[in-house]
Parts: sequence; C-alpha cells; structure tokens
Amino acid sequence: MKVLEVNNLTKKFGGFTAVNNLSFDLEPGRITSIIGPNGAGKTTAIRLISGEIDPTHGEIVFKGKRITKSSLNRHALLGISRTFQVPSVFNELSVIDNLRTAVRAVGVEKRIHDDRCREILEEVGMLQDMHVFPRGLSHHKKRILEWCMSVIQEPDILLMDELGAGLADSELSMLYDLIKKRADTITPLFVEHRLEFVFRISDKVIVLNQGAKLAEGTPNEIKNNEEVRVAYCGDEYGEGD
Amino acid sequence: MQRSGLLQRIPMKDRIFAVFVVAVIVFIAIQAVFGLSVYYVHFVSNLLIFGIASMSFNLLYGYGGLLSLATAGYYMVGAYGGMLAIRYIGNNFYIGLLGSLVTTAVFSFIVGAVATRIRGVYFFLITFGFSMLPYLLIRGPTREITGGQTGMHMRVLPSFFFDLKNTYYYFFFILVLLIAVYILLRYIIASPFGRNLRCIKENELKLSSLGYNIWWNKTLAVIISGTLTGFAGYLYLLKNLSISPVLGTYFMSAKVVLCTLIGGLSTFVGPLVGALVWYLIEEFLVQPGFLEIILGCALVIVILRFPQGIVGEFLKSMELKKKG
Repeated sequence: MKVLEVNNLTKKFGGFTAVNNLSFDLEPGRITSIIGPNGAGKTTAIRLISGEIDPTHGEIVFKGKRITKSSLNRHALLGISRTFQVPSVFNELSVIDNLRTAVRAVGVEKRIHDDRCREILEEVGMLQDMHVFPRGLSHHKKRILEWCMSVIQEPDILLMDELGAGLADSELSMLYDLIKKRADTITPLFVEHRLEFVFRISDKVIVLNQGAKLAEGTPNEIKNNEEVRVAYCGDEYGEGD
Repeated sequence: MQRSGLLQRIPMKDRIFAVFVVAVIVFIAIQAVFGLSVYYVHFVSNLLIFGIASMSFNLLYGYGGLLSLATAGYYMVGAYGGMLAIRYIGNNFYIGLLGSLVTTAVFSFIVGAVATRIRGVYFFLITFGFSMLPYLLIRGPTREITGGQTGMHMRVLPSFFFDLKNTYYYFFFILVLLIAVYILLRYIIASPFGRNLRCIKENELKLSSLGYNIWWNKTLAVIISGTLTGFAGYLYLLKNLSISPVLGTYFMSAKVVLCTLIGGLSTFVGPLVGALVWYLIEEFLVQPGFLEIILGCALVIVILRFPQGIVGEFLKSMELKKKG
C-alpha cells in the first residue's frame, strides 16, 4: 500500500517549467529523499505536494484518494505535514503555545492537548524551554520546535524542506534519530542538500535536475550513477550539461 | 507588600487603561461638582465612542496585521441600521441595537469574505472601496428611506431603563460599554482564535500549513471588528440623535488609522490614547484647518522616531527600566 503517489506532476511558472513530469511514490516506513542541484525544482515539488500551489497538470494520490487540487490547510488536515526551509515558528507565542496551536488544528481531544505538548517536549529535551519565546531560542531548537509542531499532529507524511540547513552534524543526527523512530507511522520525505546525510539515512533517493527526474534508487545506486555525478559536478572536462 | 504584589500581576497595559478610565471619571466628576456646562461631557462621550471604534479597528490592524480602511463603512452601517430599525420597526432601544448589530455583521461578513482573499495593499484598497459603498448607497439609490444627504433625525427617543437624554447618565453608560468592549477584546486576543490572529500577522503560510483555514479566521476577525465598530456607530446615533452620510466619509477611517499609529498598535489602549491626543489637539491647540497639518507632521515624527506609538514606547521604556 503506497501512502502517496505522484503521477506526471508538472508545474509551469509562465514559460519556465519548474517541475517537469515528475512521478514517484512513498511507501510507509521507508525514508525517501529528493536531492538535486540548486534550482532543480525540489522546493517546488514540496510546495505542490503540500498543496500550497496547484500543479499545471499531473496528479497527486494520497492513500488512494486524488487530492491534486486542494489547499494547504486541507492537505494538512488530511495528514500531509510540512516544515519550511527557514524554520517557521511563531515568535509571538511561547513554545508551548506554538505546540498548542499545532495540536488544536487537528481533532485531538482538548483535555489531553497539554499532556501531548509536554510529552513531546520532554522527548526532545526542551521541557525547560516551555514558556520561552522562540526568538530567544537557537536555530537548532527552532528547527526541533517546528518539527515537533508537525509531529504532534500525527500526520501520515512529513515533508521536510532542507531540515539540515544550518545544523551541526551532531544536531542533525539527533533529529534524524527522532525521525527514524517514528518512520513507521510518519513517513518522511526529505528535500536535502547535505548528501552525506541523505545517503546515510535514506532507503530511496530521487535526483531532480532542471525540474525532471534524473534518477531514482537506493543510496548506493545513486552514488555510482554517472549521470547524477555529471549533474552535480560537471563532466570530465568541467563543462557540465 | 501583598497589595503591590497584586498590582504587579496586572499587565502594564491594563493599568494604563485603568488610569485612562479613572482620569475620565475624575474629569467628569469635576464638571458635575462645579456645575459647569455639559459641553465637555459631550466631548468626552464622543471621544469614548470613537475610542470603541479605534479599539475594534486595532483587533484587525495591530493584532491581525490587516490594515482595513472600512471602519467608516461599519460605523455608518451601524448608525443607520439602528436608526432604520427604530424608525420602521419599533421605537425601542433593543430593536435598534439588534438592527444595528445584524446589519453591520452582515455588511462586515461581505467585506471580510471578499477582501480577505487578497493580501497587502490590495486588501487595503478593497476595504477602502467597501467603506464608500454605504456612503454612496445612503446618498443615492436608497435616498427615499435614508433621507439622502440631509440624513435622519430621531424625533422620539427610544425608551430605556434610564433617560437617554441625560448627558451624565449616557456618559457613564458609554464608559461602562467601553470597559466591556476592552475586556471582550482582551479576552478574544487571549483565546485560541486570538492566537491564530497573531499567527496570521506573523506567518500566514505556516498557520495554513498547520491546517487552519486562513480565510475564515480573517473573515471572523473582520466580522468581530466590524460589528463592534457598528455598535460604536449606534452609540453615536443615540447620543447625537441625528445622523447624515458625512459620518461615514473616508476621513473617519483615516482618523482611526492615524490615532492607532500615534497611540501605538501593539495594545488596545494605544488607539484610545491616540484618540485622546487627537481630540485634545483638535479642541485646544489649533484653529480649524491646521489640524491636518499638525497631525500630518505628528504622524511623520511618530513613524520615523517612535514606531511603537505613545503607549508602545512607554511600555518599552518601562521594560528596559525593569531590566535595569
């Protein structure tokens, strides 16, 4: 049973094709990553799947249901959560209020809201920051908080747009362990620039280049793929394509 | 010590509001004790009515980041809604109140439902368009029932539990309602809906990605703000007994925005203080016609030097003092 199927997804901005005929699927419990050089259409792909923008054509099937034309908030309620390139938390609200806002959106019983918030803060070791306002937190903790806001909603899929940007290796590893632990219930989809991290954690890697899918396979297959190497580093003569 | 502890727990902005209320009461008490003319009672009543409208506006602008220019529209719809209900349905305070609230709620729902689909400066422009709608309707097509340019006059005051004609009673009535609206707005902002509203101001996309319907949250904010502004319009009607389309020209909307900027948009008491400053300048400092020049200059200074407004800057300095 596939949790998400993406079929021939295309997005054009005027004359520019940001995503071109992209197809892939996500299986529950398996970690999938999308990589590619700058401007390959990775973030656009995330924006399409999360419902922020409508595709020009193609379809998105979530748990057997076509959800191509839908809105960001509708997708979130269905179970497709998303974190942003820049850690997006609400600086006007305390950490616990950020989490409360997240948990209240999905139909969780009201009286267990605070318990759920405490549980997850305890798990990530941020219980002491409960009443702090996020502007006083480090970049790392903001990332964790944003991740918590998604996970507390118990989505089926979690789209993470450059989770690793600006994090130290140890910080990223800690987040990765948390994600891995939940991978069976919350299927992760990474869009990442940090390849060493991608190759270490992923079950499946999809390479995008200039909007189109260049390759798909296990980390080892991708590592040894000549085309991918050329797209990233240029060919022998340093000209690229 | 015990008492100061209790005082410490009340947020500074609420204390400023309390000081404002007490100052107003003392001022009116002096008028009453020395048996002076009721001119300044009217003056303060007008200020408070305008204050209710400004505070409601700040729910949208200060907290939701939605710069709306439709205030004059709500205000006028509220006043005319009440007037028409009293004239054509029944001469009763509550019928008028109901007429006023229902018409503004419907009007603000229409404004909200349309305008909140658009962002930024376009939102501003479309609300401006809507604010002119009642003005034009009342002057033009519905002239027969609304009295057109000459307006409407209330011949017999509706019955109520006190004599609405008594200036002092009516002043206290408005003051109580001002406090009620203040508490209501503070309650709304502390509620989950209020949290959403603040989140919309900060990062609409993120809130939407958590599963909230941005359109509905914004529209609800417009409805609440608009209905409360309409309520202020109804209070104005009962105080002045006659209304005309001049009430709802764009100047009223601009005045609310300017008072909010001068007083500070981070609190509800800010617009109130801004309104006070405006009324004082208008009353004591300038010849008619110079007001706009002075306020224009004041606005430039406020925006360049004190972007938080009077109350905002005061709160900031208090906080710095506390930190030492």
